[in-house]
Amino acid sequence: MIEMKDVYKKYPNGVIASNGISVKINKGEFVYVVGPSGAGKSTFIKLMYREERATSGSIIVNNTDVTALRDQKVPLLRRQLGVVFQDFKLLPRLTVYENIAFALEVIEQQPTIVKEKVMHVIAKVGLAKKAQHFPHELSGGEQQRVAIARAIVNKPAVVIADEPTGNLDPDTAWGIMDIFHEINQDGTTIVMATHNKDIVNSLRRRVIAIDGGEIVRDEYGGDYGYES
Amino acid sequence: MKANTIKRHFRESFKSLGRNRWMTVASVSAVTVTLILVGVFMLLMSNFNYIADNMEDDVEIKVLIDLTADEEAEKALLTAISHIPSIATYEYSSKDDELQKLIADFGEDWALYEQSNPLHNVIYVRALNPQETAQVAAEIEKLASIEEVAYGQGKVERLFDALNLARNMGLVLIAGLLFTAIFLIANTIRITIMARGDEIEIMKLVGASNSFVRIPFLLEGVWLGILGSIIPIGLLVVIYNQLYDVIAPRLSGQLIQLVPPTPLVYEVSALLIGLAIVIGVFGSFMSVRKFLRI
Repeated sequence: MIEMKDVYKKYPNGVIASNGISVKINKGEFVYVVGPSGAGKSTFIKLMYREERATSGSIIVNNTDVTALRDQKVPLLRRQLGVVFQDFKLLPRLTVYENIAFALEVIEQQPTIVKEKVMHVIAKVGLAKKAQHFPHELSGGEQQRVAIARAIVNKPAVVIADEPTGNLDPDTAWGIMDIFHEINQDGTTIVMATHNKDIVNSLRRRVIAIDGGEIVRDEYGGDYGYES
Repeated sequence: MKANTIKRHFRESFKSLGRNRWMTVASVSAVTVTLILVGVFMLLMSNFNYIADNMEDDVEIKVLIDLTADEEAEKALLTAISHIPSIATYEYSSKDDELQKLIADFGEDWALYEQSNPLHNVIYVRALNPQETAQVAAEIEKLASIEEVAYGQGKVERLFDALNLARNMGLVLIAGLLFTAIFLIANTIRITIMARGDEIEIMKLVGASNSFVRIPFLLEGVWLGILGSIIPIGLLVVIYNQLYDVIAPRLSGQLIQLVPPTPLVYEVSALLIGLAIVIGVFGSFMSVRKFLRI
């Protein structure tokens, strides 16, 4: 599903955020990416959806060679992925419904299909009653649900999340984790960078720990492993 | 691209005008103000050119035929003149016609000369391009049976020089004004799109292609241009028509005439709206381009 080989990433300012990372993530896996701030977690995630380009090495995501991908083809890669962020990244002027439908309009789906799919995922994340609300009318947790709905509406093979619970209180965070868990049960691969020790330690899954741009630990059912 | 997507682009571009209300107002105002300036200037220049052209068209060459030339020689001269490629018209006027004109213009005193007419038979010639009058005159001078070729030597050249200078200055001014307009409008649009950088970022994140991101913005540029040209066009059409109605009657019979409003104001309007659309699209294109590099 995702395979990185000797991935090396040096930013223009000289920072080496990925120092020869090799890793393989199989279909249907749930992977936490942990590590201290500045360790290279975000870069690890960004390399997967080609927000950042690797300096060297190869990255295959869902049979697409991301490192060889031309800029024009990047949208095609993004359509096979769902991406969720700490700050939700919703369009403030669009309603919940429109924010989710947006991801389908972009790939030119039929309006009737758009409606059906959007209503389905809105129900799935428990926001059916708030479809016509605007993001600022929602709580943080609800906004993140919208973001998740947008990420999965296109039934991507992989959902990539960069600290999705970072801005949420513990109860809300667990609500979000339930949804990710459910998505994973449906067979979607999940890669999640997180600082949330409680979650990693309670909902045990594969843990990839990154420090100094290198994988320092890769353990199935591992714990968070840091005193954060 | 599917019909639904095209519909969506149109819908989004309209919605976006409303959602970014202040940005829309700012951009439209910039377009309006600059187009009024450009429009006024275009009308001024058109009128100036019209007057200049009229003045130029009044320049004619007076060919005085040698008194010794007989009918045969005059005919030969006329044929020779008619064969010069760069002339527009030529007209023969006998010395009796000339005298009648003098009498008509300056009074009966001149009728004394009817007994013994001292004037020459004359051919009036206009150059196809008034600016080439001197060359045409020189060419005619080479022909036989000519006493003198006169076209206001010296004065005509100075007039043409002055008109050309004024025309060129007008062109430079219009070009400068247009450049300022493009810069101002493109910048305003750029600022409005900058404020929506995150919007573009999110579109890209969910897999929107560059053209999908760009098209609604370009359409928005078109609407901004059209909206911004409504007031300038309305003002120019109404005011120029009014002005013409007031001024034109007072100028009747004078050398200086205004350009009739139709079709001038409509041509200027078409030019303005075209210009506004081009500027709007250009402004949008340049601004979005920045965000589309991944």
